Amino acid sequence: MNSKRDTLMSKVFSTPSTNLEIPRVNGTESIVKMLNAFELNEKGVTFWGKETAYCAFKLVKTVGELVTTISQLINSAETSILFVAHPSFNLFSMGGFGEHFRCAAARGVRVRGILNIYPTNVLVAREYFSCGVELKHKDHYCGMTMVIADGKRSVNLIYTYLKSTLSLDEQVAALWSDSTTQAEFLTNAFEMTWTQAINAEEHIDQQLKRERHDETFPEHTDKTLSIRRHTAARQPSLTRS
Amino acid sequence: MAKGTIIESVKDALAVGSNIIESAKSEIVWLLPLSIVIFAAQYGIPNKSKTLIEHGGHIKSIFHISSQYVELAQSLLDIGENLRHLDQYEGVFFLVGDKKQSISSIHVNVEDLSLDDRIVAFWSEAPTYAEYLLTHFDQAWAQGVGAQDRLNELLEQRP
Repeated sequence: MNSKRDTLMSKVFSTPSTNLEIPRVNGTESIVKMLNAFELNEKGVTFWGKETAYCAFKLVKTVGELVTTISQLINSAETSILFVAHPSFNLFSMGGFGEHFRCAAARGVRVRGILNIYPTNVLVAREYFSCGVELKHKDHYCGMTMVIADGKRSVNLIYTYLKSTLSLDEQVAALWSDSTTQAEFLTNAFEMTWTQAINAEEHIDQQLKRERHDETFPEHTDKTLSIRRHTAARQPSLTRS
Repeated sequence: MAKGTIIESVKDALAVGSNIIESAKSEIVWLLPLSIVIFAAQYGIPNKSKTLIEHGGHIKSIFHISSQYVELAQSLLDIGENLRHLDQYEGVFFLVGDKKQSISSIHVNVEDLSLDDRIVAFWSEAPTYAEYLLTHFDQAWAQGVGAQDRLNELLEQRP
């Protein structure tokens, strides 16, 4: 390893024409970054960038890549998983992440999540409970959708509208990162939302009680908020085009 | 700085934003809450935008133009910003300079923001992060309406 490092150092300071694959860098920070990237590469981590040796960010451009990225984050977690989903991001309702969460919880990973729970995704919420996820409900959440693993690796996306029937090839704009600073940034945002959110089980119970009340007093019924009616409805689906 | 820095106050966020505009050579894009746009104006940040434009740079900007702040929007148009109005925006706010430097914030109490409020913002120099934000900006830009059209509409509604 040291000899390889020395070789790399000599290449860093040599002329580009003799080492076309390795960009020349100036400054200690860049050299350290390049050496760190070199070590990561030896451990089997992919190089993401071309201009610099290693980039802490990578764009995720399709639903298929996003599903894979989220699954990998959950499966690789050793201590904690945090997730929060925008109401219009229905991939959590159709992506089949429940089993991944179950396995993570079974190996001792603490999984905390925030969803906007409404009639059409209450089954998903209950599935997450059964998988060992600590779940909270947040009304009108309007921030990023994100998943953070071990406070180190993350994926987030801003524009979250996805169709109810979704192709794996559909375009999205998401960002994968292994920057701990980015993970800290997202974790801060998660914790602020977690504080504002309410216990999901209580929220579901309240909704059911409200429904029973509405059945007794039908003149007050809000027909758009029937949990039992919507749980029987078809759930969104994920397709391969 | 390569992997980012967390910014925890409105004052610091304004300082970073100002610095990004000042150091930009060709392009600034921003999508910000009205409250931040007002603070920025109070701190003279549009003067830095004006300088950039005078040196051949471009600024594309989006915020919610309300009837109380017609003059603020007009002042940005007057210095040459390419401004759009976006109604009912819910999401991430950000400023990107030269497709590289950026500051973005997830939680901003847009209704009642004070300079001392705690926020969580992320300052980055990663081009990939900037590209990610710019993708979202393009989507928001497409949903917005031209600021001049919005101003005409608001001025017509004035008694």
